[in-house]
Amino acid sequence: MKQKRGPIGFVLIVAILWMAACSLVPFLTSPTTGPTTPEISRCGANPTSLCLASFGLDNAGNNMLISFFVPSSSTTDFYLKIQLDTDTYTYQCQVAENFASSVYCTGEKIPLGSSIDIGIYSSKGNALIAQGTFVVNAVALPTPIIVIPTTGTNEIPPVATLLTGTNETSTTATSLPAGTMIVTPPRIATKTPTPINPYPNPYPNP
Amino acid sequence: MNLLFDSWQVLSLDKWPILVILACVSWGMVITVIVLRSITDLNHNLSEYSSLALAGWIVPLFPVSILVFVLAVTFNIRPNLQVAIAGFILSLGLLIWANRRAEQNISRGSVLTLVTLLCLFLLSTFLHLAFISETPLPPYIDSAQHYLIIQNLVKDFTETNTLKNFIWPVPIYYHLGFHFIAALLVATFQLNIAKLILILGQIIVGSAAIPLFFLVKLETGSDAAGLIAVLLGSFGWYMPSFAVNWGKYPALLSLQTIQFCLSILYLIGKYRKFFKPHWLIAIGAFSTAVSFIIHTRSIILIGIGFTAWMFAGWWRSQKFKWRILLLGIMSGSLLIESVLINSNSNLRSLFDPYFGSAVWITGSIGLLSILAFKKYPKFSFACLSSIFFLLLGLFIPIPHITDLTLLDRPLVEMILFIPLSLLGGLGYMTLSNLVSARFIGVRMISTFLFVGAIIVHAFMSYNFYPSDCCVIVTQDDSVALDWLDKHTPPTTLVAISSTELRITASSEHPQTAGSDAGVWITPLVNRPTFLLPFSTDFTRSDTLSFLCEHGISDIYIGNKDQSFNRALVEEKPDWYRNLLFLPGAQIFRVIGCK
Repeated sequence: MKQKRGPIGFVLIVAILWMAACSLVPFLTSPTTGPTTPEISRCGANPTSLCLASFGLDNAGNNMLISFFVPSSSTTDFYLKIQLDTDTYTYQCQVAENFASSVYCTGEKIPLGSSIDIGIYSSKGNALIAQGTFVVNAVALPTPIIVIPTTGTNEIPPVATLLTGTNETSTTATSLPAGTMIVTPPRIATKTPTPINPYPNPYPNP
Repeated sequence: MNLLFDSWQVLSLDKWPILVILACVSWGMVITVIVLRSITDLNHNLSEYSSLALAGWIVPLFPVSILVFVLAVTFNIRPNLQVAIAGFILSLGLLIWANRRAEQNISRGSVLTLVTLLCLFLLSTFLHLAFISETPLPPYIDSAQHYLIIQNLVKDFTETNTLKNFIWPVPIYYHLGFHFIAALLVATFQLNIAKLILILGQIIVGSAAIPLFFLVKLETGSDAAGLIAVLLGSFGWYMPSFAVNWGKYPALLSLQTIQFCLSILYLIGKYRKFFKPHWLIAIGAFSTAVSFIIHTRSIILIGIGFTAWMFAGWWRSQKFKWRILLLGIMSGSLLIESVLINSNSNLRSLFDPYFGSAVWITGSIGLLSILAFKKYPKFSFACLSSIFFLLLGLFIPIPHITDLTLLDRPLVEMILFIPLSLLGGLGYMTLSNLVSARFIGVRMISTFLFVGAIIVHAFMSYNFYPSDCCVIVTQDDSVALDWLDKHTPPTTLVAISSTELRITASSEHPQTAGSDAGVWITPLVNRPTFLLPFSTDFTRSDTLSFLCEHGISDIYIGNKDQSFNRALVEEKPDWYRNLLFLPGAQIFRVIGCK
């Protein structure tokens, strides 16, 4: 019996050493490289990790806008460095109020269809958090060409300002307390579709 | 595993609001039991009291919210953590005082039953927390309204100095019970309104079916039958928990008070021969008033329960042949109602939760209820007739109010689980009595299989996450709303899309409500909004004139089926200028006014 125990023990020890070696190999073979920077991708239906939600246009500020989904475990205090060919653009980012998982960044417009490298850097320490390569898409072209009088603030002037250049505000608008909702008869509606059943059940019915 | 992980993540991230709400629920439960014990001669065990108190916890909390509100707006005593702790200590004093008065200690009853009930409540609540992991805001259009009301009430709790300054939180909204309680918690514990609504909703859903135990236990004397009813109500169908997707928070909360009121009515009926139930009547009346303030239609539902019980008593007193005839008429009428509902496009989806993959559960209850009639005829008939009255309520118009009926489709759809689960509990008890004591093994195996099948069904088809149908705020909307807040003046009047709500049998003059993320502009961004039909043709000159006349400066376009048609707006670049474009949300400025 004792004679049999020797080889079994040997085999077990070898197996354990082999497994330990296998798990250590990645650390032993690349001693000079640090941890890799996570790649960011486009968001899916129910995102769980940092991802790029969409490209957009802030036509009022004449900026491009990039929005991200940020999970609760990640920092939201970051900015972007965007590389387009030889140019580098910096985009400042902000958390959408009331939506802790939504961060959007704005900066100089980049032509539609361009392939860009996005680097996400933490504001404190400027460390690279994540990076990815994307093609700028799904951005609409600005429609009208209107000269907006400068107001000195980042607020869009009210309609009256746009038209007259003064800072008048609509009397109807100001007389309405915040939260007022007015229901109007659908006289300006097109003959369309039957409204979808409100308070719908899940479909397909489980 | 994802479900457990998501629930756990919500629990760890939002432990403070969860703890606060659970503490309030526990406080309300303790007070309910103390009051019932000290002013009545009731002597039930801990399981029975716990299930009843889980329905009634809101009854003592509501007057507290009103009292704190009055103190805040008249004497400038603002709710805060210190006041809350003082209140808690005061109520503990009451607890000790009341316990001294109580002659008997509460009997513990079966520990296993108590633990099972507690586990069902905690497990159900824990699993439902996963819902919050996928939505930052409570879903659907109603939630925006609830948010706004709570927001305005919180201002009153924390800022208003006199009752004169008090403004009704929103026009055309009448039942504010849920909102007063939510506002009290927000103001006292400095909670986020959206988070509070979401968590409170999931805790209400987790506890919605627990009170069913009380009625079934009292009627059958069986803990097992009570637990079967709770299990059916919790996981048998996707209602009532799916109603959080509709933002029906007041209606969900009223399910608790309705069950509490019906239980009190049952107790009055049960004990009136032994003592004069004056105090029980007083508690029942007060609870009904609270329920009415939480959700106006709950008074109709309590009335239906009461009428069904009285009707069943009368039916029970008839001769056997008349009883059979009446039962036949009742069943036939139910069938006719079902046909009428199925032929009405506004009501057709009412039975969805109870058929589909859950048809075997509903079918089993149908079979079990035949047995239930044998042993518990009055209670079973009361359940059957309450279903009849609930469906009938969909067709009875409210006098002088156009198109409104006593009940609407979503509410009836939500509440049908109560009579069905009660019937299931009674039927199970009858079946297990029928199986001879010699075949106790068969009884245990069949119970195990039935319970197992419900649990497997729940895990296969139950969705603990928000439904795609009802999430109206997307990632792009969140950016657009924030952008609107930071880039437009506070007086900006924004046009948002709306649709018709057809939830009653008649549809000539349907109600109107917002139909995409635009409904959140006022609550979150504090800009007034203007509802326009989602099918508004923005290319027409009279539309532009209309916008200009009413001072509407911006148009918000979301990404739902019933959002405005962007193509129509873009067709007129001289009239509308795009300010913000995201694939799922756009904001246009009206520039064509002269």
